[in-house]
Amino acid sequence: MKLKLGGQLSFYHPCKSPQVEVQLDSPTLLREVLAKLGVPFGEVFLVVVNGELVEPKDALISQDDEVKVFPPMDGG
Amino acid sequence: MYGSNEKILRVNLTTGAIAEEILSEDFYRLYPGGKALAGYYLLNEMPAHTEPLAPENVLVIANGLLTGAPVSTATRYIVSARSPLTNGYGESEAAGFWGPELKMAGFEAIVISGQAAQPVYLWIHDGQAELRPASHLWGSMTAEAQETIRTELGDDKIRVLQIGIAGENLVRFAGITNDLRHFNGRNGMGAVMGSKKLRAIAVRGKQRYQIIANDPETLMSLGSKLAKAVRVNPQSWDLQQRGTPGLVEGLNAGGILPTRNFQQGVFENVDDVKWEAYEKQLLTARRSCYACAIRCKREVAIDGKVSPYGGPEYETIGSFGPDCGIGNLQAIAKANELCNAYMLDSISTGATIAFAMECFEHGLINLADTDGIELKFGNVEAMLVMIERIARRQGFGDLLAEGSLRAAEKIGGNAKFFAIQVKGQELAMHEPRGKYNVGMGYAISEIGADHLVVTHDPALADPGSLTFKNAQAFGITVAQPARSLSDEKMNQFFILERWNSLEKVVGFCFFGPAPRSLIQPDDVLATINAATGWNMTIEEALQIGERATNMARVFNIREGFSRKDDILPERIFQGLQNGPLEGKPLPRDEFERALTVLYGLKGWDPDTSQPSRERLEALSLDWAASLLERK
Repeated sequence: MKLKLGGQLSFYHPCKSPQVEVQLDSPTLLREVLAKLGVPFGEVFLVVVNGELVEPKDALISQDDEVKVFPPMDGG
Repeated sequence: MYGSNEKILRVNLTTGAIAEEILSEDFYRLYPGGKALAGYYLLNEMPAHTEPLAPENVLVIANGLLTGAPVSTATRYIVSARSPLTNGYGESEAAGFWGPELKMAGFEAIVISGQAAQPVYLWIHDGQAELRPASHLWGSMTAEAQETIRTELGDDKIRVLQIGIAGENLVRFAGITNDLRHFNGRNGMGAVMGSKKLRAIAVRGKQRYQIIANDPETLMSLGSKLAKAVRVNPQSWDLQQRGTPGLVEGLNAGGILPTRNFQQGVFENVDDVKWEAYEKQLLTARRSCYACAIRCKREVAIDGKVSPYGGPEYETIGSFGPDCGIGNLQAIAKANELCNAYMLDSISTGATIAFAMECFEHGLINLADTDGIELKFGNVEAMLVMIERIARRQGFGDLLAEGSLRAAEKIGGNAKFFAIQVKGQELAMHEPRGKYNVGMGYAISEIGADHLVVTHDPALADPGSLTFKNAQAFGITVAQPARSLSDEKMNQFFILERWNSLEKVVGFCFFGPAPRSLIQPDDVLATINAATGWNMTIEEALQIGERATNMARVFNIREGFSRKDDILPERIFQGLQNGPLEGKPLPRDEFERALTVLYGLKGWDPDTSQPSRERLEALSLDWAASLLERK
């Protein structure tokens, strides 16, 4: 599964990389995937799965999915 | 008094007189810099109903209390005058190096009145000031003028604040730059300088901040602690890596990336303008402001050549990119460069061109009006040509140089619907239909649509977010949805607005203090107290912020503004055309109800928005209440 950690979320990845490949054997809750990567779920504001915005807490992810997660985006 | 030079500089451009004025500590504690000093001088020294471009307009340039302190993000100064764009209280902030240099040169603020007979510039160095002829700078691009000033004064470390050709030509959204890369963009402050024939203020100072600080060791230690904290704070790290251009993709994903004059919230060519494209196509270096460890500024190359004007920020990418239907980063960087060379506000310039594009597509204007320019969304050449024509007030550019509201009134028909502005100032690139408190900030701000009135809603919508955790120190304990205008949301607005206003008084950037960023309120107060020797509490800090906002409101009430001016563009009360928020408006009835609630919290009249005498007295603004009673 291809995962993009948008904005500050990539700070939590050990390599600080925004692009992550995750191996999933079965459909898994996104919050569990992020927990394993050390990304605090509370900082996730938006989840996009295969181009569609989905509810973060219910997001169920499969191996073929392309997923992007973003923190709250504000201005400056 | 510690933490201050105790001096302001007064310049009368009509007579050429220059004088110093001493600030007392009692006065400075009530009005400790920036927005607070500006509000005080504008209200007390400018007659009511002064024309914004008349010699009687008073231009105040004021450092924040902490500007120049060795602490990350404390670099800002404010430029204030009656705005030629809104006709109300005007202000615009900038960071960079100029404010700290003014502090090191011995002054807290400059109060400028009158109008010079011929172009001049002001040269301030180590407590001295003189006016010098500037006819040879008039009509030159900002990079050329800066080079000329540094050469003739014989010091390449001089910090130059200046207007450009747009300000000379009184474009109503002309801005001011310092060091070519930092901008007082909003509210047309460049046109006010232009009307006074003041092209530039060059500054050089050698004093060190530590000499005026009450407790320099604590101050240095706080500065060092914050610089280290920046490295381990996710938000600051992200700003350092990507800067504000990092916002583009996430806003688009949420359906709140203003597109084609705020018709849509999703831009189909977002991949061409998001951070990864910026990094690949434009980025050459990361830059900083004075003493700031975040380093969120970008340097870019255009057509293979490094631009002296810095790289486009998110706002500029938004206004010349998606808002004009353009997915071409080189063109956006070129537009940014043109704005900075002519010194135009890149938000209002892009938004006004987007407005004209929609008018053109609806047939309200045609090729005969636009001098043959096909002003359609997505037309890169048209966009770039219009920037120069606006700055030079040539042809159709002369109309757009008046701003979208005035242009709409001239164009007629339903053009006013396409002018996406509040009080005459165009919205920044943040979609209020997805961030209701940002919408409330646009509406209620005394300077017209301003996106820095409160922390943006999404950051406070989840109890797990860093920003929400930070906000608990302010008594914000219940997370609220971004698309809500509940009473609790208005309560949060009232708290956050006072705190943000304090930041504009003491000189902090939006990316410094909590709740948006990492500097906790206790450290903000500790920094102020180490600089001054005061014992400021959070209550006093919030009161300073509220006092500054109320002076701006009193200014506007004196000029005839009322509740009817605290309104959003009609389009915002209608649904977006695409994306996750398609068909979803910001509900007008909820907005009006929330506005009444907010006025109540502020102690303002529900019909007129005038602050009550009781509230003004509580803020030690008895004199402002009397001023309104005399109006």
